[in-house]
Amino acid sequence: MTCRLATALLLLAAAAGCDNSFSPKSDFRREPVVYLVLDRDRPFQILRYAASYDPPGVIPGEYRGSKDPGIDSAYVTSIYGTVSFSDTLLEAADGSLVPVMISRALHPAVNTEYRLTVHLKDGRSVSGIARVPPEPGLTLNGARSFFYFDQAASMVHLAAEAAVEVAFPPMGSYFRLWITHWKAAPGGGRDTLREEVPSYVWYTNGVKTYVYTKPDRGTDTDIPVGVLVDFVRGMVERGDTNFVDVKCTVYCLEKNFYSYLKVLKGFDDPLSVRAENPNFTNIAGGLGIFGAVVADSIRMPFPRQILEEIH
Amino acid sequence: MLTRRILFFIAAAALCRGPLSAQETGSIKGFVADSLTGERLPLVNVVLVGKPVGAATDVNGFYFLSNVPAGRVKVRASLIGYRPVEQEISLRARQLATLNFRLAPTEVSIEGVTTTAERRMRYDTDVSTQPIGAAEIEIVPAAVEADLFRTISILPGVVSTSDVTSQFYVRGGGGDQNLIVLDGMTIYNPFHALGLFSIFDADAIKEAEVLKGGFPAEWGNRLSSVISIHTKEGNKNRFSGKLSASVLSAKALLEGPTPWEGSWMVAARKSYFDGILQRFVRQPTPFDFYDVIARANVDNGEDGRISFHTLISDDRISQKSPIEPDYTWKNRAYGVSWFQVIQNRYVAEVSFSSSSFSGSLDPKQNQDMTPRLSEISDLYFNGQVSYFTDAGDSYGAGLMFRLPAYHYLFFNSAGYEREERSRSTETGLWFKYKVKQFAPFAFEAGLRSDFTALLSPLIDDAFEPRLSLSYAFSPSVSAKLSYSRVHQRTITITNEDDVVALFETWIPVPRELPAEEADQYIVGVDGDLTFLPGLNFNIQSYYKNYKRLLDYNRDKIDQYDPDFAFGTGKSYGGELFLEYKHSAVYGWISYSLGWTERTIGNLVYPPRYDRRHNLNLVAGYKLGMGWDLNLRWEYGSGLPFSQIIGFYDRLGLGGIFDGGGYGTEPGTPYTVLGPKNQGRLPAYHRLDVSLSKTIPLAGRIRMIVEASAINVYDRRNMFYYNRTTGERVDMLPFLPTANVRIEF
Repeated sequence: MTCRLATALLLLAAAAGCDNSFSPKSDFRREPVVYLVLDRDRPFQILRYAASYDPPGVIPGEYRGSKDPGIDSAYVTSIYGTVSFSDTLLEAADGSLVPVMISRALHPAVNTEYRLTVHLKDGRSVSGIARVPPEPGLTLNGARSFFYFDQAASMVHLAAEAAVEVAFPPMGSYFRLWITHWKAAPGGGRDTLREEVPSYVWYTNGVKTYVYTKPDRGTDTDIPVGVLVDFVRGMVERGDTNFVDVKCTVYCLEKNFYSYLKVLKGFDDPLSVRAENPNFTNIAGGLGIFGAVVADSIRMPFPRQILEEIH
Repeated sequence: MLTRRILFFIAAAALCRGPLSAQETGSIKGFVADSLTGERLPLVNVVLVGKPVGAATDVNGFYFLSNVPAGRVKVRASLIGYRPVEQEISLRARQLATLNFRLAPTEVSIEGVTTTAERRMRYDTDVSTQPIGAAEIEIVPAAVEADLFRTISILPGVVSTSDVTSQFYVRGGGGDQNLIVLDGMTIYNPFHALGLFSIFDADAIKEAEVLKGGFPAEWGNRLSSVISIHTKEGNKNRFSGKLSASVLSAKALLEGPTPWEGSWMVAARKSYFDGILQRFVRQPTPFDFYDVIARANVDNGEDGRISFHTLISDDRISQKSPIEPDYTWKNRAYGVSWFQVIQNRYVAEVSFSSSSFSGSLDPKQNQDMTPRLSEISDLYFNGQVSYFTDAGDSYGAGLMFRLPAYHYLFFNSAGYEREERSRSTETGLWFKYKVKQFAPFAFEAGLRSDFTALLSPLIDDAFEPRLSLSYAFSPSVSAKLSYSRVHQRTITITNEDDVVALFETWIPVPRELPAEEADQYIVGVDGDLTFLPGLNFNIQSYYKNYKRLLDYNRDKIDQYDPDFAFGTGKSYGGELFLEYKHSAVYGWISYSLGWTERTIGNLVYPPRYDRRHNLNLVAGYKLGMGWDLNLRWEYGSGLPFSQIIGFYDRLGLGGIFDGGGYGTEPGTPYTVLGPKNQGRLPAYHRLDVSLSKTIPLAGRIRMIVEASAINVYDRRNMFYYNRTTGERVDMLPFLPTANVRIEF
């Protein structure tokens, strides 16, 4: 009986063992990909377009094969009318030419809804809707504490007051703090540079890590003066002490654009590592994103008291 | 409405008296114990010879026979692995007599005694309860270590998704829907070594009950299964023990009598070599663990016992590199239980325990990781009493409190600390009535109530009706039907999509949200095949409706989004279990056919553990001269995964904020996935073999040498596909292992 059982098991194993091939792919489906982020501060709006592709392998990063989806026309509609995009080529840093569509006539207005429509030559069309956020109206609170360095508890309070008109959460915000400084250029003159100030410093076993701001849904942020001082001290040690000013910028992000950025940078889900990070898109019939951004900035001279304290 | 109907049903049955008169019958109760060790034996069939009257012993070795005709009767006690014993007793009408048995083990049955398995009578109305004893654990060839959970995973209706984890999924339920109880203590994370095997040393286990559905009223708080594990009581007659060494660990089990009337048992295990683990997880794994299970019993005459229980386990992964994180996780459980037969008809059981689990991650100098901590601890009280009538019926009632405390800490992606401490209360007040006086019909009706929910707006969570019916076509074959509703208020936030989850974080369902809820319907037939002595069969079909499931919010973008999303689900299927025990041959065949579906919002998908077909063949054969041969072959159809339908160059759009724009940004190739989990991995199958030899050394001392081979024909079973690297990661290759054991 043992022999029969063993024979039966081996036969079963041999029969089932024949099929061990695996491909993670299913049938390829070409998807149009479009990117358009309306930016009020730019002289023209750029529509990037591509199509998904099917490389011979399965490893992302080994292939880059963006295809032309075959666009027939693209336009944006709002209460102010319809504005079309036209073909052009942009030169990339490596000298290659990137085909895009641009519109110089489109001037995004805050608090306004826009609809993007892209017609493809194969008869399909993709579309998306984006609402340009309101003016952030950035204010700097607690400036006094900024100028009077207090080792104990001083904080700079930065606030954007843009969300008051819209039900929460309609959008995201992205606060960034920069230090502008200059260096003497080798051939004379000055090179003006800027460096972003971290919002948080994290120590683990004596090792210091700077953590920078990320898109968020908060309407304000706090930047500890201690972090700014620490950061400036590092610049002093490198000899970059010719400061010009401190600039704070807040970007008010359209909600789908905000979601796209968050998904791109990973979920705010620290207790598990997802095997499958999904794509986020608001493009009906395709991939990509149709979003909008409105920025506001405040500049101020760098506080002399802090510099003196450091020196 | 259903609850009211069942309450009415219980009341009507309780008031209705049966046709049998107690005037011509009496009852017999008693205990059955092992003659060598004095340990009480569960699952022993105690029957009247030549009469359709019988019962089986519970985990305390206690039985109660009702409806025994007055006069001189012969009672037979039998259990596979033991010589059957028959005793005669004279019984007067309405007498309750005591008759204890001591069974002698027949370890070398091939050399003379032929023992055929008999139908286990304890589960006469329990539909989906599967007992697992030491023999069932040992028969499965060990993957490094013999393990209870490996045996559970080859039962019908149970799915395991990999060789690398002992996590299992019962009838379409999630991994956190299994209640693991050791001697009455809840164990929250019962895994060693990244889930490779459980923290329960197989040598210390006397019996485990696996309830896959049709839960009696005493069980609750988990939607899918209950695994109730009972440790060995210890040898009451002499000091004895086992010393073992495998390629992974060394362990010892010692047991003996106490100076007072009672016994003790200690089982300890310690790892000493990580080379084998390294083959499993495919990276250097400086892994270290130990576990201790201990128990002491104080007997209160024949009818009572107080037991003290302990479980301690520690795991640690300590990396030498300062940028590789360290992990630790530990379980602590302490409990005391009291069992007492009162006035011969009442059986009271009271237990009090404390259990805790904590896991932590120390990133050291790794700047991409942050410290994490997950803790849960509880205080648990359970009291229950059963009453047996002369008509063969029994009543049961009980009360339980569980007070879990939760604590978790982590740093979110923005670097800010999030810490939360919370407490919850789980209560259960239950009553059940088991009716056997209307043979061939039998039923058990029960109602369980979380009475804290009665005081809240969530009154729908308060009641859980339970009902089981059986009809015996013959003394050896019966049909069964069951319905049960269960709620669950403690869950994990582990994402089922994670291939390997290092962290099992338990949290309470927020008070303002309703509990998870599932209804399960089961129909089945089980019994013996009279034309082939020793062959039992069990055929079941189930339908499980998850009316509420709490899932970690799949669309969570940041901390302002809700943490949880409610979903629903359903699972259904059929199971076949054939078990053969005869003389020197022991084995079983289990086959499951199942479908599982989850719905969250508009997304409908099969979860990662939705396995359509699952077949297990297990066989053990005593070859004689101390040689034992064990085989196991498993086949599982492919598990779901999401297929790639293309690639595209995804833009980061960071230039918008840095002044450069995105007009010429090159983008990063990224996969486009098709509908969730609509693809299937290749089928899984594997053959394991073990061969052991028992060598008598001197007196009672003997040595057992065992050689095992995992995945004998080196099948490349796929574990998962790494989309980032394009690598196919397989499970265990051909792997020979060995262990040696000395028993005295």
